[in-house]
Amino acid sequence: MNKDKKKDMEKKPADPKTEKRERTLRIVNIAALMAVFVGITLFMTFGKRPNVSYTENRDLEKPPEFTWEGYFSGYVTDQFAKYYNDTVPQRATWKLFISNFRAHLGVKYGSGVTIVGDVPVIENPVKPNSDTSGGQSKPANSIPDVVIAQPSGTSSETSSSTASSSSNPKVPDVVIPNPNGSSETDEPEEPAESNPDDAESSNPKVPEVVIPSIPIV
Amino acid sequence: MIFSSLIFTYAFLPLCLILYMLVKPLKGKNAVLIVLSLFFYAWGEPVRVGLLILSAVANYFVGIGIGSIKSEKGQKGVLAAGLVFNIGMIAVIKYSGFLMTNVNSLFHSSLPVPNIAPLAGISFYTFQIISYIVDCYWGKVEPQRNFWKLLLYISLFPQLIAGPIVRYQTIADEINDRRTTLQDYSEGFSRFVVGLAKKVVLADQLHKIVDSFLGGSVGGLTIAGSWYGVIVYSLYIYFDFSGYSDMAIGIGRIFGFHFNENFDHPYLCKDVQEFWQRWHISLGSFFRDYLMPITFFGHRNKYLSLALVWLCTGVWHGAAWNYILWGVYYGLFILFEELLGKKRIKKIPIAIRHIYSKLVIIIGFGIFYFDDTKGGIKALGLFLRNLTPANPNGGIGIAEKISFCNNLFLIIAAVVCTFPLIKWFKKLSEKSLGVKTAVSVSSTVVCAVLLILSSILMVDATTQAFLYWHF
Repeated sequence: MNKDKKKDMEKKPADPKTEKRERTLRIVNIAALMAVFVGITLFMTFGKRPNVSYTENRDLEKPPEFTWEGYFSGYVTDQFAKYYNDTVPQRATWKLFISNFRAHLGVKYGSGVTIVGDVPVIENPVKPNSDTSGGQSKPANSIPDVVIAQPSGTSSETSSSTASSSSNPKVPDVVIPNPNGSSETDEPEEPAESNPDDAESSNPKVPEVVIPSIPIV
Repeated sequence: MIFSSLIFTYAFLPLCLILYMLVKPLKGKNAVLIVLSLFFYAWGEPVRVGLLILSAVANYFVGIGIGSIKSEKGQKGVLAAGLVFNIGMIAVIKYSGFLMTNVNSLFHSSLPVPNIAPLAGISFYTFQIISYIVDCYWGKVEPQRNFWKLLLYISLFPQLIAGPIVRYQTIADEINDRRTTLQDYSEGFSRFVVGLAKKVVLADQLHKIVDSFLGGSVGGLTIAGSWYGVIVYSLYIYFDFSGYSDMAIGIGRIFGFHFNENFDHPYLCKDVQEFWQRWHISLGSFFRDYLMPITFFGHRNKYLSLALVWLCTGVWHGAAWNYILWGVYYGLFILFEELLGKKRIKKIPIAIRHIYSKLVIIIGFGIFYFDDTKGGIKALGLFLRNLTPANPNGGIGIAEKISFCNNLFLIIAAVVCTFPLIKWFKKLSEKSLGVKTAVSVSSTVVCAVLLILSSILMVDATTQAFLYWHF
């Protein structure tokens, strides 16, 4: 018999009032934890699972097709675990929460951004809007531009930037797609019919992302 | 399947609980646990269930053999056969590749090196089986004549993969007759949540720091960076492993099993011997009870037994030189403390004892970290050099300053959680009924919040598997 169980048995019998209170507290504890546990289980089981991640710009994992061969090789169970974890209902919300949680694990050091190593410093970075040099190419070591892409037809700025990008050889380095057109951090609503096949067509076309390598330690 | 995954917590565990509660007779409950335990073990690699069942069958007959043979010699023979089978199985699966690689490099030969995939939990369940057959031989337990009950003991999923190493005598009565009380449900659920939070909220976040320091170019670390990395690793490994043990003990309790504790706040120790009485208690007590009594040339020798125990402790953890070195390292400190004597150790100021024990433990975990996948002995050499003023990279760099500040609250929380907070609160609650109610309600709220937070953090696919999973 283990030590804890022995200890429990050797304990002096509590008075009826204490015993009743202990019983009530245990019931409250079980009820509260079970409520959370059952709630999350129901949410995980019956919540609508997304099949596209707009923030990561990728199709999420798909459930495996069952075959005995696949089962014995371990593929079916592994793929199912991946699918289950990757397609959590309201995934984007939880991912945002996780990144916020991680950002609050400590305090900011210094001014918040510290770059160590051989990084060229640009005194007056040229803004994309004020670039009047037309076809002039950027220096290779310049800071990459960040452009928030708007869905076509939502603003006049977008159409002009699209037009200029076709005539101007200067292509933005990093483009963050924003189908809502509201703000950079807003999570997009999942489409009503989130079929992965038509997901691509409903998405705004995202230009290729080119990230120049900067030696940052 | 690991405990700290959504699929386990919100698909497998609810299924287990529903099926377990639907079935009323104990026989049925045991059957449910066996089927679900085998399903759990088969997850991701169904073939390994075959080995587990083979092992259970072989050891069932070993137990029956020991119980039915009357002569001492015959019993010894059966026990020896059982030990050869069990140790042989673990040696072939876990150590044959390492052994052949070293033979090849030592004799410049080119013998084929077996490439056997690591089998999750083999070290844990093999040790459980060894404890069962040795206890049968010593007459401490009756051999189990019902195969299904023995299979339940070996395959019980809460402790199957990463311990604690539960001895048969601990749960023999509960396999035959058990019921889960209200207290078991309450404390079991709370314990599971605490373990989950230790793993997901603390260990997984600490692991990211460890990875960015020790996981990169070790040669380029500063003195402070090296110490910072290994101190955080010491915290990580504690929360990872003790979190798993907490979850195992909690789930066991929900199903009516009472496993022994595996950790007792090890970082509160004042010397290395005490550390091992508080860290992975089930492994330490296994070696103390089953390996220490071994005689050498017909005589018991304390120092040879110590050497054997610490060599085995190192080897048990993995087939790599750093683990062997780790075992020998601890063996030397234990020997040093043995020679010094408990009375003399107690005369040393307590602050110095704390500093000494923490230094030994932290450097020890540095040795533990650098297995072959992380650069092996070569990286370990660089790391040990970088802990000292011989480090050519300087005392302190910007990277550790940034990382420390960015994770300050996490590190403080981790250090605070190494103290026995739950014990203190339990003691506090004994003062009066009002305090008890307040403590209980607060702990319920904390547990509920931790469960929600852990569940959200588990969404992150980068969640790490348990470190002791592959041991």
